[in-house]
Amino acid sequence: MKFRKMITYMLFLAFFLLSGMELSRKWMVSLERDTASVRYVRSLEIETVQKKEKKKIDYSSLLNANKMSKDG
Amino acid sequence: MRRQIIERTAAWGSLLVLALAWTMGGARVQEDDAARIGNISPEIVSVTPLGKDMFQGEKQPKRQGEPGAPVYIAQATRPGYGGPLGVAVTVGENKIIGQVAILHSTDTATYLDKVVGEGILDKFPGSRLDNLPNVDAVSGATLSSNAIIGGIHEAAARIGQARFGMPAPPPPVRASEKELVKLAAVLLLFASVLTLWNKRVRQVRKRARTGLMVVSTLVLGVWLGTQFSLSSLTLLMSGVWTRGVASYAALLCLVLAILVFLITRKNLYCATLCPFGAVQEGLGRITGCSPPPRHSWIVWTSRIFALIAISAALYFRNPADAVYEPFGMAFNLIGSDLLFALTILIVIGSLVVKRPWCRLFCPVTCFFDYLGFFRNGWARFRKRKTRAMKEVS
Repeated sequence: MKFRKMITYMLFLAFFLLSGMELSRKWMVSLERDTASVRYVRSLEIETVQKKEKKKIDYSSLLNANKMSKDG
Repeated sequence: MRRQIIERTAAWGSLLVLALAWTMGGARVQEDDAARIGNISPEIVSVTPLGKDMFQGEKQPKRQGEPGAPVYIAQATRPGYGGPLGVAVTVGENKIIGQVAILHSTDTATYLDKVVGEGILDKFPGSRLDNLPNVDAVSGATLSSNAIIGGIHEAAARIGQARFGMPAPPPPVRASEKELVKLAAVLLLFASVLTLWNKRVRQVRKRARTGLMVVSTLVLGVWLGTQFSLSSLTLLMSGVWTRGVASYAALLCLVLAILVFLITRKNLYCATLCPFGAVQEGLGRITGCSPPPRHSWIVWTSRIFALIAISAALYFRNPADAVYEPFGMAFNLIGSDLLFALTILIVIGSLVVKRPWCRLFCPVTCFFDYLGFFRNGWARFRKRKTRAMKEVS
């Protein structure tokens, strides 16, 4: 097989595989997207919930640290 | 003769497949905006329409027995890159924005991910209706960004006007200066191509073609990022463009390319104006390589691949689902990692064989092959009819 012919076949195969993977990715997203679903919601509540969760973790670690320092 | 029968069957069969995909897609889409709006937040219940694009809901009370606080929801639709883009805004009695959401969009997911990733939506929740933040568009995804920002401002102003007596939302700007420049550039380039293929300029055609390819690459590719792709074709076929798109330049490019093809019987767009084709040809000229062999199985595989892509995009009513060409990646560096790999491969491949993407896998080439089949069929039909008329007379 000639070098150019071999390169052509390899390029074609690579184009086919890469394009096929790209399309299948997009179709999976479209399949999952229901007509009633909403994408990319940004909410005020989500932020406040995240902040509250962070505070809880800080308190417990501080208490443990205090106890440790008293014991030591 | 056998080949002709196969081609004819395939051509009409693919028309049938496309029609089927389009019909099935239409049945699948249910534009139920109230259902979408009800899904914005599980905390908002009892959503009822108040008027056109306006809804009212109740925020679930923290304790049982307490009345729920009213929440006003408005939606607005602005033309995005690939068609209409709908956003919704929720506002409480305190005039503060609670949620913003993208309800529906046909823009390429990579562009939307980029815009949302840059935090455009995050800037709105918590801001007052009378003091909305000034948010800049994300570079490289300007049309999607502007559609989202404009839609949020419009929806917020709609609630402000209806519930709090604020001034009416300003009318959306129809065409920007850049959009007009794009349309003018496309028209000028196609006019130049037609002039170039006039018999009188045959002597300078080779040099002029090279010059036009350079100009087209710089103007359509690098500067304006306007190049029609399979998504433009799907956009045209699905009819989504009738509901408004942010840029009509790619569609105009497609329509003019078809017209030029039908008039001159030559695919002059691919040969002269396609920026990606021009880049491949330029790279090929460095090494002086020749075109790759185009076997019939290669041709038919790429045709079937393009048909599947268009059918899926018509079914999902999302032109972006048909895109596997690396045009956006080549000139704007926007796209997935797979498209990046594809672009690199084409660039390297162009040094070994002439125009590898155009010759082996480009769906635009397949589209013009398809168009050529019907044009030739029509020409044969007219010839036969004329001959029959002559025989009768």
